[in-house]
Amino acid sequence: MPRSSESIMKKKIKSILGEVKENPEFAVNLSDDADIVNEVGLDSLQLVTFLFKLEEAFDIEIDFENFDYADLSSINRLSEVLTAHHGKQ
Amino acid sequence: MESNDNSAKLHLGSFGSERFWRNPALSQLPGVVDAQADTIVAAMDELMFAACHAQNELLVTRQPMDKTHVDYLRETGFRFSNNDKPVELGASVSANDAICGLLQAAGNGAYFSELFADVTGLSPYSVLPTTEPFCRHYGIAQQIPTIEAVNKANSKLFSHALEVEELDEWHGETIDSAAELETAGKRLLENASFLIKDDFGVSGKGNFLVDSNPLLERIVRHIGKQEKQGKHTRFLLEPLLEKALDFSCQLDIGVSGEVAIVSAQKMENAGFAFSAIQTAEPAFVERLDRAGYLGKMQTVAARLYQEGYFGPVCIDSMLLKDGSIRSVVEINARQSMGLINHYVDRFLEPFSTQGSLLFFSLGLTRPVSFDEILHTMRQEAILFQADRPEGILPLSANTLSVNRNTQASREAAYKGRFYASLVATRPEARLGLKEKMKRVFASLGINVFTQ
Repeated sequence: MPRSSESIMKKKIKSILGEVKENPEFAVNLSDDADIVNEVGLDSLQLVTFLFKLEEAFDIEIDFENFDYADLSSINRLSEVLTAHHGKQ
Repeated sequence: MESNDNSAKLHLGSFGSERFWRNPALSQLPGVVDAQADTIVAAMDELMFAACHAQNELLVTRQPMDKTHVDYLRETGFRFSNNDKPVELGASVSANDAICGLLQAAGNGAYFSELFADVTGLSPYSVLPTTEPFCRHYGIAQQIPTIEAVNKANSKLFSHALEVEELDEWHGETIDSAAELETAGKRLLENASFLIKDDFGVSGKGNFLVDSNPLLERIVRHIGKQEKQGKHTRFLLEPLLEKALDFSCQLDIGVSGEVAIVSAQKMENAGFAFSAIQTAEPAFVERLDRAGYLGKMQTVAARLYQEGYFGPVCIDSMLLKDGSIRSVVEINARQSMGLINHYVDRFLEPFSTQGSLLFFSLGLTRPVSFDEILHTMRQEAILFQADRPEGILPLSANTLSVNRNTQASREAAYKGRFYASLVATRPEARLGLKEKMKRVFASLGINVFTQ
């Protein structure tokens, strides 16, 4: 994936996180290494909402039953996973 | 529940009881397993110290309570005994089992047998499939309802049927397949957003708000996929009501069917997960009574007893914006956070004050002990003390640190939760305490996710 599209994807992930946390400014301060579980702190409802918004934004379908929490360990990691996912579909 | 006898009662429980009642053959709403959240829920059993009335009442928790926390609680005036050893996992059980299951197979069963020697009764958070075998295993005489009766009493589909049959109130419809969900969902969306409710959904999970056709179609695909794998579908669909306030009524149904209304609790909700609970003021209870609500609670209790259930019940209800009351949003035939808040307020009565029960959802990027937090609270003069009855009363300590050891490395960030009662007579003072507590966490480098 070209560096520019990777950067757009990370920006979009952050913007969705800001939306779900109902705090758009929040997204601006997030680093690409930010841990989505332990630093952003999504609760169970917010997490599902976040995943649905990712599906919509990147035109993918997430397998909830086999979802790997480790994919949320950083925005970098999530971006890589989404890129791979997008490539498969 | 409210008895003041001198029996040496054993208190224990597994929060998140719904997962032990839920039929695994049923399809599920979209969700992901959050192992850290589950670990925290398993550690919430420590909150039950508030239910103990006297030193001879015993609370047994999976992990022993934090010593600093116990010392603080005793110094403050709480009276209870507790285990100082963890429940050691036996080879034949999963760590995810309920505490009653774990205790039956515990590697250190002899320690617990000795601890239970003087126990004359059991007050479980909820009756689970392992509760009755546990009583038999340790020879604890306690009348408990059958698991079938408990299961039925806690089913959301049963609550729905009861609303219709006993109260003549109608707030939803049941569906039995993804196809039915699609048809009924589209019809409901023509008027308003609606909720899909799992038969045994826990607070914050198990309820899903559908506000658009694309989202409905996505959920239909999710459920349909599970049906192809052999799962059955059973959900309740409810139009989203214009809510003004969530509240709950705590009841106790005796073994002979006698009903005691224990308390009414108001809930300040953030989303669908509770955010703060406080005992309703007498004027609110009088208003409920005038509206016929308390009479309806008696009707619900009578029906539950008729179905074979007795013991504690928490009925979630709703005050709507048009002033009407939805009496039964759901029935929780178990103890509840509302009941724990009632117990804390009972403790606070001699201080002529009351508290608001809430939790702080936290992200810890370095290990912070309960001692450090308590110390900082003392320094900042926000800790509830018997001689300073306006402050924060910490209700949990293990929920803060339980994930520290589950992470791959000691440096890894982890989730924690801190349950507390904000004790103050005036609501504004409670809000002030909440903000001060957030500053304490910030000073210790802890991320606070609670708004």
